[in-house]
Amino acid sequence: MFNLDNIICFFSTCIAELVCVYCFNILTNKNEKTHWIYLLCVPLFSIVVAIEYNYKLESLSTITSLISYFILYFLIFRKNSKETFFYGTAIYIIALMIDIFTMFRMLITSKIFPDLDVVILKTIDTVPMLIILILISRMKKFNTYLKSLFNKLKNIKFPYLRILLLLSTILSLSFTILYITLGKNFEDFQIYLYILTVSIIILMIVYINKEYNNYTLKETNDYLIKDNEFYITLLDDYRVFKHNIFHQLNGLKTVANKKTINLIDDIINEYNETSLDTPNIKKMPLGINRIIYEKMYYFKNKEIRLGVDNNIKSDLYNNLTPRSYNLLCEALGILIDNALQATSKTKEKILMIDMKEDELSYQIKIINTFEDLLDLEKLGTIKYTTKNSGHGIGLFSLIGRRKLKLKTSIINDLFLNEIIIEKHLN
Amino acid sequence: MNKIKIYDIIATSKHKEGLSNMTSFIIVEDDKKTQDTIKEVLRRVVISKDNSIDIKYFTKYTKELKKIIDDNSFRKVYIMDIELETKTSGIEIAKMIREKDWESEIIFITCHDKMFETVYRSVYEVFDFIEKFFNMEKRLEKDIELIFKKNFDNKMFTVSNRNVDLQIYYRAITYITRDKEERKVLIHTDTNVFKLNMTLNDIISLLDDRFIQTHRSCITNHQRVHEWNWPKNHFILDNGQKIEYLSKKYKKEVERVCSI
Repeated sequence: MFNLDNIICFFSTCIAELVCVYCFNILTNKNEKTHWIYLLCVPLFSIVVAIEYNYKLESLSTITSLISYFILYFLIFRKNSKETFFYGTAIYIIALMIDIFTMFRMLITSKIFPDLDVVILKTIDTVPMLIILILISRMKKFNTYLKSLFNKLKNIKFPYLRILLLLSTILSLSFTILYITLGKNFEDFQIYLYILTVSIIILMIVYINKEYNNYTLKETNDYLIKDNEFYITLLDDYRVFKHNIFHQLNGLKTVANKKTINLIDDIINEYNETSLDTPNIKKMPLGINRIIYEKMYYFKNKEIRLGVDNNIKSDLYNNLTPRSYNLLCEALGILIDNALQATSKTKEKILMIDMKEDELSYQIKIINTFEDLLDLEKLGTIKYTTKNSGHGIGLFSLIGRRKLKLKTSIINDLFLNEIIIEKHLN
Repeated sequence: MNKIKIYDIIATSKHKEGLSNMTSFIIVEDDKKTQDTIKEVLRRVVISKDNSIDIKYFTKYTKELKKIIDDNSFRKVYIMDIELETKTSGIEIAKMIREKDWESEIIFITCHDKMFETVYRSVYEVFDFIEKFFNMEKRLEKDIELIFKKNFDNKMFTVSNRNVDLQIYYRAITYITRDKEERKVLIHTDTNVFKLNMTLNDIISLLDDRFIQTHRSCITNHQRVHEWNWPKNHFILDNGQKIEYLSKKYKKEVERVCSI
């Protein structure tokens, strides 16, 4: 069933995969944690490739080995998808280019030694190709160039990245077609053309779908931001109105009798108790101020002492993708709500919101006093709540969200939640 | 032996790591006149009693100050102006300190409004806010004496699990009991109760000398006990709470520790 060709194919695939993993390690790993145990998958993938080869499914075997490289990179190095895709594609393109070059040499060799088996010939040629690949990966200049290219690419806006992804896929597949058609028949070319067309259609559908979602999200967010600005203007008008009414009422007190003065005082006190005074609402990032104000409004009679420290100077709305912005608003809504519920039951009633930023992310801390019984093991798990039953989904739903990190800590009688959300850099 | 690991909880008791007894006063004040006043108070209250105490002066946030903040090997008292004329205010420096260090004391010299005082005092565990133009010398003197009197009792009990980090001052823990239904312990403070996946035996090794066993299901912070009532098997805490976890079996040991 299996002949020498299959065994050679198995070993050459094994070696090629190991070399690619080695190159990936040189190019990306900075003494970070790796899971070398997954190297055990190499023989498994190689067996699949050899079987496909045995049944003359050479086109499929090329695709299988390409996929297996990416699976190995991901399992062993656990880099993010951008980095894995970038370096994986880079290695694959370089390997293909070397391969095409060595193929010409192989054609010449096969002309000189016409009796030599093609598989043996290919395997012999794989060795210098892999050596060249290692040498290129070890080149400092090449390494630096790839790193700078990656840094440029990772800052590209997501839609452009998708176009780039599409182009590099087409490029990789075109190289593969060229590679195959150099020594193979037209049937293989047809299969590849078919795969290429299907891939492009799938990518286009995904692309259009994501763009549409982003567009609708952005539209909604823009509308909300405008709405927010309008309410701040309204709030200012209300303040001026309240201020003027109070002055006029105080003016009336000068000509009123004792009973009327008491009545006016009662009215002023009543309005003061039921209106909400939120510090620095205009200085807070747009959108976030609405959440804080709205949440505080429901607790206006609870005498909660709110402190807001805003050190975010950049435009938060423009520096986040619509999806991240919505995620941040959702997280803030849940956490401020929880904080207000908890702090309203305490003696001190303190809520502090501390906002800052660095080059890569925004960090928002919500700190509140609390008085309760907390099970530290169950905190953040589904349905665990110190409120009435039916609650407990909020904090749980935020844990493990991509693009948003949540750190929870308790220091004495203070409950601290920190949201860290990545900026979307242009 | 090491059951704590089974519960995926890492606990450290800082008192065992041994914080150095060296004390430093870190003054961050850009106004020359106020700095001179602070110097004078420190000379009178601190240096006259113990001249080994180290005092460092800064007018703004610098790399050297950052180094001091990051170094947790000795005790520090920060006396800082809130309104520094640089980008980094006193509040910002306090935030940096509290990122890692909850054992040092912070005193603010300020003209800041009262509303913020209450919030920051609680959130960043500020020892005192002293108004610059109102009795500053006397108030600072009193604060420093108080800090020395309480002997920097800011050691913290720290546990972490995959969801949350917990840090509580030892002095804030009143007593610890065993949960009757689950294999857990309940750490009681004045305002809160924390349930942890540990046994009493696990937790006792993480506590300092102020904690003693008073019942087979209870460990008590004896410094927080106002009255022991052996005939009625209860004790009363300094916050007035009556706790019925006192067993005569532990009387000798409790009396021995309390007499020390």
